[in-house]
Amino acid sequence: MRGVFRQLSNALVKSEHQPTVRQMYRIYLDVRQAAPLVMRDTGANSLFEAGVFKRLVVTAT
Amino acid sequence: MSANASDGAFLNIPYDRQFTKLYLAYISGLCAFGPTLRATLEIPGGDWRLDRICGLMKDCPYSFHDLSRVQLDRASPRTPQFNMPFEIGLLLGYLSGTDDRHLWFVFESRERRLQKSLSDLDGTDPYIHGG
Repeated sequence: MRGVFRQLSNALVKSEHQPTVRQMYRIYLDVRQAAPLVMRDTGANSLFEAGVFKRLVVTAT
Repeated sequence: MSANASDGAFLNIPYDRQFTKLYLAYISGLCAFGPTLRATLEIPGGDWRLDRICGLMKDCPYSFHDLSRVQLDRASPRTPQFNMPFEIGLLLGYLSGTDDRHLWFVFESRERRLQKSLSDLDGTDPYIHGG
């Protein structure tokens, strides 16, 4: 997934806010850890459901 | 990307288990930059889904499109996923007829494959993530 982080940094090079790859990875670890709990709390069968997506975004923000 | 964290960023990616790691990576990476992340996942099924997708894209000044899913899926009948290129096509069609400012970015996992899979985007340099 670091390739995604690296390329997001390249794509958004003009962004006023520039998180590092390390910062993005730390958020990723939090989101990955939260994912099964979010699925349990929402009763979801998949990570690709609206409620799960919304809560993962909140976790990441 | 502006400093306004409420700016929307539309995420156009595959929704399948094989893409899970990159799905979480896109959420994490994009949220780190600050925008409000939006995706068609939010849209319930039923009537007028296409209209809602278009509305969602129009509300976002940025969009990120991963066009790496060019393989057939595993379930029978084995079928390619057309939603991602279709959605970027919808967006570009809309942008061609409007003065709205919008920045769009294309991602792929392999070098030079986009020139084969979607040659209509020749001249656009995709960001190759290797994932």
